[in-house]
Amino acid sequence: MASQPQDITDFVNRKYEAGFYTDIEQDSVAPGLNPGVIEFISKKKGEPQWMLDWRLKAYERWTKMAEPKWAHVHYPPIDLQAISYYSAPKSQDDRPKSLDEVDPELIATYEKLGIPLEEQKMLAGVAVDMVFDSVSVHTTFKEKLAEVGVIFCSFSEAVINHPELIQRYLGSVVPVSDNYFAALNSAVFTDGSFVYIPKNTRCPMELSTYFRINAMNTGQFERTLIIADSGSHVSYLEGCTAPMRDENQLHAAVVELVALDDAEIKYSTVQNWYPGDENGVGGIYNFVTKRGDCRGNNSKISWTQVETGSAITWKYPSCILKGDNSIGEFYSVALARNCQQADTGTKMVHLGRNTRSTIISKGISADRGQNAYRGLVRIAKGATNARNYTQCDSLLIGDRSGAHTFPYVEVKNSSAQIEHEASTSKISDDQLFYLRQRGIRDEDAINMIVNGFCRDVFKELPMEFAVEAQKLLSISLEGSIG
Amino acid sequence: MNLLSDQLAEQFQQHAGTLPGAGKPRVADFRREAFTRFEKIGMPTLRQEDWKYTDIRPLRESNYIALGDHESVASNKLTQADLPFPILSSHVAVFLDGIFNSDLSSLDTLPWGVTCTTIADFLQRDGDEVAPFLNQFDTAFPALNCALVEDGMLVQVAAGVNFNEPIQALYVNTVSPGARLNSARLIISASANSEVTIIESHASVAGSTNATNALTEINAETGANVSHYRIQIDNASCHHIGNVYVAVANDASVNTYSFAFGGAITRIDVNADLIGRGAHVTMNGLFMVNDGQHIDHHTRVRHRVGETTSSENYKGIADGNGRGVFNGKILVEQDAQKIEALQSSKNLLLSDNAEIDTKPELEIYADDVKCAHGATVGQLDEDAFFYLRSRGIDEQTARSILTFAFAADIAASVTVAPLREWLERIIMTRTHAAGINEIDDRG
Amino acid sequence: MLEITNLQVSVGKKPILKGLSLTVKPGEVHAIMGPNGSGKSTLAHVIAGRDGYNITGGSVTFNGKDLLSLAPEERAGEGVFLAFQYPVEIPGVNNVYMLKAALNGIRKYRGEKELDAIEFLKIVKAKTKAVGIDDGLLNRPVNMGFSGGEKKRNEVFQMSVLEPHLAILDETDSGLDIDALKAVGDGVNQLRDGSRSFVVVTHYQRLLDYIVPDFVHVLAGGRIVRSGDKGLALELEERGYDWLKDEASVV
Repeated sequence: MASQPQDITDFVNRKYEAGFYTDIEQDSVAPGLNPGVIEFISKKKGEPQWMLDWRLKAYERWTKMAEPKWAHVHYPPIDLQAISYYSAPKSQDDRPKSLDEVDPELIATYEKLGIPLEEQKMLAGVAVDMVFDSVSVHTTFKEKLAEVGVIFCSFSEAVINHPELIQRYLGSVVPVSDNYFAALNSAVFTDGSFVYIPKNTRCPMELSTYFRINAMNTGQFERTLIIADSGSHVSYLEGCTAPMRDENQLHAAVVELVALDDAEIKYSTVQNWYPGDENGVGGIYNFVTKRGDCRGNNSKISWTQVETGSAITWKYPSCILKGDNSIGEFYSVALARNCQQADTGTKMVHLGRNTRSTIISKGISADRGQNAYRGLVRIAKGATNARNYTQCDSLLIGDRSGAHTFPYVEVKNSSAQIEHEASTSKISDDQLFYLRQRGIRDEDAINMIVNGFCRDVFKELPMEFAVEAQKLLSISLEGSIG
Repeated sequence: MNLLSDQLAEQFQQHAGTLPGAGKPRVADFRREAFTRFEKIGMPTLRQEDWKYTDIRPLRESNYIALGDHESVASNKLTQADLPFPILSSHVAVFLDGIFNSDLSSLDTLPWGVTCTTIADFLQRDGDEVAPFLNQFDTAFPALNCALVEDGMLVQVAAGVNFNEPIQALYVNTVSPGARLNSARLIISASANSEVTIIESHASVAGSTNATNALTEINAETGANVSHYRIQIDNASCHHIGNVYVAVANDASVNTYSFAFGGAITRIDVNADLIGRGAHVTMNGLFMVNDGQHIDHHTRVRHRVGETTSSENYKGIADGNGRGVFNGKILVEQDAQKIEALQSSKNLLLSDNAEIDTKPELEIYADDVKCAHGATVGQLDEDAFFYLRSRGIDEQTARSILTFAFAADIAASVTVAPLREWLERIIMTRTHAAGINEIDDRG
Repeated sequence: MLEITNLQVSVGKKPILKGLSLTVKPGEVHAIMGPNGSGKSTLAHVIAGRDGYNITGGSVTFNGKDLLSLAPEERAGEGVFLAFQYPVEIPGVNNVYMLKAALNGIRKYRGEKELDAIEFLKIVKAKTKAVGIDDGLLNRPVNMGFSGGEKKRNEVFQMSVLEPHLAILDETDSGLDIDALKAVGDGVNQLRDGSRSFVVVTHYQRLLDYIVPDFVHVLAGGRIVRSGDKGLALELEERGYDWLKDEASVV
């Protein structure tokens, strides 16, 4: 009929909203990877010998590993020798003591993104640990957190100030040799966040970190470690967006979470790295290892992610349910449009008794976007009374898009109850017509249906993130056809 | 160490000159190419994604006679009463260690338009007539079958012929002096608007240690209707590899069932290509594993053109230290619009030493689709269990009744009555649901 | 108001409507009756702008505008409302939120000021009371898990909020028990104001006990084969449709 929606080109040609470039003098190491570079990084950061030894051990393992090929993504080979493994804002030696001392250009960068620090400061209960390129330059709310004994600082600071915690927990969830990208990260990580919540403490605010990539040829190797001691609770928010650029950039982060007895960690991500242009030029290669260890009894780890960015997303936030009665959750919205490819999902490894896990995954593919859910639910022999429920739905928009589902279910205990459901379809013509008959424009109707489709995930996000996520999704789908 | 492939190379060299069709360059070349493919692909290992859960080392690293030496089979004086599997039709072809046995078979009463030819005879034919045999494959065991197969059956149904009586092919592993690797072959060619039902059964006589490498091809032309029931109930010392390839043309429909109860290591691949508009495939299956057993089903449905439908329902029960594997993939190719595909994998785990691995996959490159899959692993429905017990049924019986009901669900849709009844008896025995007969009798 | 002239519609290659004409003036209630497969729902869908129908001839104008060239949401903006035979379930989309987007979409189309949340909720509250819909349903996702009766009542509720000029009720009585039927009828009658028109598509006479039509048309074989007043509906109730089918084939 006369009413078919049109503007796929508008949607494709839409400019990346966070696309700009900030010129800051860099203190960088020449491209290439060898033990010398690792020593340079370690020295630059003033690390103790044990940290350098750990890095070198990881490098040693990495040299013997091969890049994984099993994911449903295609990209040209990454030349890891062409990447610079260290870059930091020059003002590094002279850290800003207050907001006034922060590089004004940096502040301006955030303002363009709509997250000016001044405003952030006023946001109730949110501490921001910003990572610009590789070095943390600013932390707020530290004192307030210190009052209750919460440690929230850059990873580098933690290495110096809390070596006992780092030595005890670093690599205990994601071993250095876990996978190719994790091993690489372990060798060359430059900075990240560290959180420790002491026993029986409820972290008084949501902790949040905004990441971004800025310098040319800079690999990003963030390292995050969060430890929730017995009976504690923390909600951590991670958001990222990246300036527009033409060359692909590698991002290989590692996030480790440890929840001890009765502890709970909620980790939320909105990922909006530069996805590349409509021809698939540029964009971030996002190879992330995220894993949570429910080490204690009655512990809980919950991952929520909204993945709208990156040219390639390779990411499986997982839970090891070691403690009895522990709970793992994974809520995910992943959008792949233009030439984006996402291979994402989770692993739920049930080891303890009475462990439960829930997986809700919503994939949206538009244009030529390819979206794959890859998941593993493993019930070990001793995991009596394990429960898993998985629901994994895909929505297709456009006849060149693709949606793929690869769930692995491995069960070795007869008391387990595992249920997996998946569906793939395009936006229902009936739903679209119904809304349009009521007077709602086709584009708004699509948005409404897509947001409804993702509702079960969005409602898991903290309020301000949920709003941001919905907005992000709407922007991303603007002009798409139904 | 890849002992078997070395032996097979040797045996192929030695016997290639005397295999059926060896005198025809076309067939001989075909076999040589197939063997080259097999060698190039190599025997599967756990490192391959498709074989991640199935370790065939016991097969790969053993001694098997795959070719020749049939004198021992000929001397194996089996009567119909000795057969390890019932004759379920008046049209039956029996193969002993892969070779057609005319004494045990009866194919004389087939109507006009339905022909059964042994592969050995078929390969004597001239020119293009042998074409249905000459499909190459890209995986190890089908390629090996193409190279080595000595006999088997070709069923051809002429256009418009509707044949309602089932035709049974029974492949029997016998007790032979040395363990054999038997190649079993079945080709079903249903011309336009024809209809045919085939029972493909695999069993072994007590004491047999033979292995089977079976290959089945089903070609349903426009508007044809094919029902194919595959049953495997080998004994516990036999390994079984089966591959089924189905091609469905426009408006044709194929039902292909796999019932697997036996064997030590069993691996069955069922592949369906929907190549014409209006094509439909139903893929159903049931496996039951107990101590020392491993049964792996891999199914693939490829929607290659639009307006095709598929429906798949697999169930598995693992008891003892048995391990059951299901991997099902629905693939919708680009531009194959208006697709409906459903897949279900439901599994019961009855013992803590048993294991179920299931992997239902969707790979979709078109947008106007309705695809869904579901998988469950668990135990019996507790509400139903309690209900039965509250009616005075003891725990063990209640368990048996529900286990039987879970499995018999797949058998219930089998339209060949004697087969369905036989399946129900087997399921009953395997679920220890002896009391169910009485319940049935009572009413 | 609504002027359908010699409308011909096919689905695929199969002709469904074969030259249908109908005039609806402001304030009138027309009942379209007919056997299954006569094209009643096709007519309703074509007026509302559903995809999948080929208009092979004829015209549909609404207050002088060519309805067939408008998108569904533009037709809604013009004041056309379709109460669906099978109201669609939309997971995750809140009923009231959807309705606000709809009302503001229509107001925007008409160049009127969009309502803010407070103004809108005031209207919703008033209409909730008038239609007698359970307000528990309002904040659920659109039609999700609603019973058959609740869905139809929700359609009438939406109609009362959107205040269309022409409401088409597509087999609104199907699947309703007598109480629900009466409630739906009451809801519709409240909206009869002398200028709003209704086209009631139904197989059975019983809905017309509650919504009394000014005209009854019998659709058979893709054409209106007979028109009359409400007496015609009663006649159909008694005699069935078969006697008219014969007429249809003669026409």
